Amino acid sequence: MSTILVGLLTETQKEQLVGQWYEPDSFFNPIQDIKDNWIISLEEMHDCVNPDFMWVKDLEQIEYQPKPIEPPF
Amino acid sequence: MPKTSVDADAQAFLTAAAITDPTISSSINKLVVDMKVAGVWTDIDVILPIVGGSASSHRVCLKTATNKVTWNGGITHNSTGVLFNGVNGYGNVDWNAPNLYNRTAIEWTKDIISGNGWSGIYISSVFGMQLSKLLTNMQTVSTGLNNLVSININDSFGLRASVVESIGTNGGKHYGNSGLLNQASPNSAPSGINYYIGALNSGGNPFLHNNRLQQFFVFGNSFNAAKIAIFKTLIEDFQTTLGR
Repeated sequence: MSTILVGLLTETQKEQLVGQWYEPDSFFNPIQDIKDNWIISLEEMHDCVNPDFMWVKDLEQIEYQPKPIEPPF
Repeated sequence: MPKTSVDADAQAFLTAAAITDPTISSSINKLVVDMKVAGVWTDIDVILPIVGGSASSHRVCLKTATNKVTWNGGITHNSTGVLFNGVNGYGNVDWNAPNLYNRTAIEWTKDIISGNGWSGIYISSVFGMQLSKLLTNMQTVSTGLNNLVSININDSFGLRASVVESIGTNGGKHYGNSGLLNQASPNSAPSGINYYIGALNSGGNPFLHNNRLQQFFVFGNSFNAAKIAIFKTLIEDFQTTLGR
């Protein structure tokens, strides 16, 4: 599987993004990776047109390592 | 040249979604007329035809001409449909019911980019035992009480429908491109939880995000096999006229 890159957030940055839109009718959705880092996707970074959050375009990019989830069925 | 009449419901949707493209407009009009002729229009609560190429147009419901989806996380919207990123993207559909039995969710997938993620509603007890479900997955279908068995379908595109007709023996059914895939036995009816597309809704938390390119969603009353087949034909024809 190819590497997926995501943008690394601080706790403060995560709090700033929750509930905010990055493009019309689309909202940021910060999640935690396997190391409990807060991250957003490259789509949210690249597609952001909200003038209050253009700084997301400059976030450090790291490899996405998801938390292990076993489908319960 | 005589002016072609446009169905009022089709026109309301086109106006709400700010769509003026003639190909999309005529395709939407034909779809609405065909659904009414086929007798399935009144069974539907929400139709998301995913046309117009933007987050704003993709959230408009064809049945009500109102916004029915909140998009969250990484999603790409364009003329081919809505592509969930498999990381954190999902759509929260404003659709639930006092009880989820007598309910159907139909999804139309263009392609699976990677992985094998899910959409829908998943409910489990504190013991981790599945109580009820309304969910779809293209390549694997779980079956039986508490879903102890899985079967592989290997469909990578097309229709997947999940129907909860009733609580009890074989009250839950999964349909695919070839018709009925399997039956399950829900033993409770969850309520008040929205359907997620692009991920499963587990008590308000999205998980098992999928990485699918999707083009059409229908939510409504429980449909039998004949009505599921009607939807498959209508949706397939709709995608063909759009050239996608």
